[in-house]
Amino acid sequence: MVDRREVIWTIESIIRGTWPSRFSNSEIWEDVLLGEGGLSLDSVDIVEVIYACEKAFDMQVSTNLLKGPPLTIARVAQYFADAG
Amino acid sequence: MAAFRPRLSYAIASVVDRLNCVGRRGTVVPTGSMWDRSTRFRHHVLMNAVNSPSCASPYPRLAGDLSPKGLDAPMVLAGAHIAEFQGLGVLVDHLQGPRLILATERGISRRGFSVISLVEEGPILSLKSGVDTLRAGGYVLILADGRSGSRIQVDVCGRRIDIGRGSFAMARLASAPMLPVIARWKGRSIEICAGDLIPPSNESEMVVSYVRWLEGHLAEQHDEVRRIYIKFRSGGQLSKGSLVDSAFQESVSDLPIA
Repeated sequence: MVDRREVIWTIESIIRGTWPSRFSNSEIWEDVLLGEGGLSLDSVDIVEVIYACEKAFDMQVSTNLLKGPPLTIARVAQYFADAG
Repeated sequence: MAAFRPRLSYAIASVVDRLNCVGRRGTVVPTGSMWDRSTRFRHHVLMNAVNSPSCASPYPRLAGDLSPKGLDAPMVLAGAHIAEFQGLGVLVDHLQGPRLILATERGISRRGFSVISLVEEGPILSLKSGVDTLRAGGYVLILADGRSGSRIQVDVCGRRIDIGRGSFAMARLASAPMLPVIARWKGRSIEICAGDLIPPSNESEMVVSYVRWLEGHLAEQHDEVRRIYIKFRSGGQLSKGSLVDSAFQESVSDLPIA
């Protein structure tokens, strides 16, 4: 199993790296929504984050993650932590 | 009957449509009644067949010069909300390998291809399924002039409209080219008219290429069809009938219009 804290840190790094000057440090935290009401990433941006995570953790996400409630960094991290 | 004998039903519907148009040649009735639609019965058969789970081969024959064997995967088949867009499934049906149709409404997956509803599954799952299909060496059919999700503003026939960037982002993320396609009736068959292949690049560049093709296609249509399409795409309120009629009028290649 992958360490959840480490996964969260990786996801936060992916978001900061993909959009270097778009978010301040305080905006990126584990329970923030990726989409509307949080980071306001659109569906294309979120899919890009998911692909970057798949590459980083060398695993594919299942439809269950994408079908559920709105995605947060914590939810994505939990998925990869559990699956790893 | 359409579900059990679709090919026969298309033949009969084609004759009925033709008889229905006798005396109406040269007229354009974009906001006319159901009877004024020159492809009404064929469309009715198509919808019944496609929406019937028991119908294994719901599509009519494929007519025209486009050879599905010449279309190399991965590829995004980019339709538009004009002509008989439900008939684009004919092309998907003739292709090999992983195939996905991204539709607004729920559809029936059959014979080697899946249908995902953008509304039911949401944009994230739909987009990712599309990219996954393309990365697996497949084809994705989508109406690329939709307006859902984040949009890119572009001029079409002198009018600024919004086009969702999802289809174009899908092509970029999968490094897959995009083929603009339109389906239209030709007698009892469906003919696919394709534009030039748009290479994958950033969404803004791809949208411009797609729109140039769309404008070229619209330029060949009657003024009224063009006007209604632009009004609909720019967010104007139209009755369902007027939209459908405008789409249908220009979908008929075997009956002259205006």
